[in-house]
Amino acid sequence: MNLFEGLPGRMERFGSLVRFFLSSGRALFRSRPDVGEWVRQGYLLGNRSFGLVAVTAFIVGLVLTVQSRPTLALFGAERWLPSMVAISIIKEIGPVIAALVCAGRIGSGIGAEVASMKVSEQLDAMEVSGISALACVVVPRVVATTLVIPVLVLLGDAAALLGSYVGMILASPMDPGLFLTRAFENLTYSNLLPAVAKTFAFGLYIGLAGAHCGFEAEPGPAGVAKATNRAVVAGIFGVFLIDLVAVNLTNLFFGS
Amino acid sequence: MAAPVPVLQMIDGTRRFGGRAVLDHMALSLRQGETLVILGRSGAGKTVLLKCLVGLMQLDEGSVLIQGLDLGTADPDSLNLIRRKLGFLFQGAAIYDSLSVRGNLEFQIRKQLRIRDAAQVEILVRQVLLDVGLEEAYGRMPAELSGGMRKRLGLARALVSEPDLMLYDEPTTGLDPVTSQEISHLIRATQKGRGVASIVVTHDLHCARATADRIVVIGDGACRAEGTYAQLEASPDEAVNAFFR
Repeated sequence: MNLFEGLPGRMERFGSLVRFFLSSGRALFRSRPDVGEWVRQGYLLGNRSFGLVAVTAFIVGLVLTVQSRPTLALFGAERWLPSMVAISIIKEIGPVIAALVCAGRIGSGIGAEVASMKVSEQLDAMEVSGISALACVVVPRVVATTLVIPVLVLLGDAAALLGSYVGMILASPMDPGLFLTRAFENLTYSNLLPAVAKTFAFGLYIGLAGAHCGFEAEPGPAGVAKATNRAVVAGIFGVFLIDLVAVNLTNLFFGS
Repeated sequence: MAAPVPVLQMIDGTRRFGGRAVLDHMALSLRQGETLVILGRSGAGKTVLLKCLVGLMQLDEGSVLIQGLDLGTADPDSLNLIRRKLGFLFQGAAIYDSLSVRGNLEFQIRKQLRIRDAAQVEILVRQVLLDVGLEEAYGRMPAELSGGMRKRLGLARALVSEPDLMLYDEPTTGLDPVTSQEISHLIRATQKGRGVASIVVTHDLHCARATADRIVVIGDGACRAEGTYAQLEASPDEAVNAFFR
């Protein structure tokens, strides 16, 4: 297998995504902000994904706690379990898990919706009337994902900590106040802020990648399916890539 | 006295796909208040021609001028200004599926005409629905509309901006003969009532007869014949005459 076989095509798509990002940015600043539509999209996207993010995060928190306990017990370090789980969840696992769920749920939804608008000529209908499809279709969705995904991540973190607490009390009873005290005792702003900051980048990217795949959809139902699939794959891959960059930047500015 | 500037003009337009010229040095001109019908077989490049005429597709060579403005060299703001006075009925109507009938029109009024006053929007919505005979569908969703109603809604959406130029892509395709006739009459009424210059791309002869002031037959990427319905019907050119049998 030649690893570089699809590279020119991928580079071309990346270039197209960058151009799309710049055009969308221009559309955002040139058009009158449609705050009502931003809020509507934010509500739709957030409402649709909250349950899935919360349940997934809860399970991850619970499993992480149950799996880590025996190893920590070997060293007599069970006391540190809430703190270890909290730092893992808030710094890394929570944002990435929530972003991956959103890439699947929100990214695919945006990709499919925009692609079906493209193949049914709805985007052309806007352009031909002098209405910017970027400003009316892309900008509200991208603004919504950029603002909503960080909120979903924070709610997901809370659900994961709840899962962790349930994991703790399955083994031995523990006061919730004590759990929270121990969970947050080693958490610093340098843990929290970069983790929250990268979720904005996840949100921006997921919305943008979904809309871009939809905009580039080929004609016909197969084009919609392909665009949806691409939106998910691009979203998941991009989340990992952004995370890699964010972790290295965090280490550079805040230390590891 | 100088001749009036055509509302729309294509000069030497060429558009290729994979080396094949779908439009080959095409020349076309539309006068104020005129309805020009473009007839051609399936795959003759009618839709490509229409999309090139409004700048949804770029020509490889040649130019398109709308009210004297060259679409190929116009800056985006001028292009948008021109497009705001242009109506386009797509073959599939291109209705915004997530919005109701009213929502489709309201969106167009707010975004295209930049009208924000709710009362004024409501008056315009009601008026244009009345014009196309779609008052009873006011609150319905596009999924609940028949093919003919979708076309009417597409037409209403195009007319709401009171365009100077209307373009129709296969307006009667997929409709029953009665509805086709109604749509053709609506096109004619729009042209007569509002004095809108129109281009109708079709392969439906009944539609062509009902709407045309002038007909252009295209084939092999170029104009093969031009004239009134009666002139072309009597054409000695076998390829042109074949349309009218």
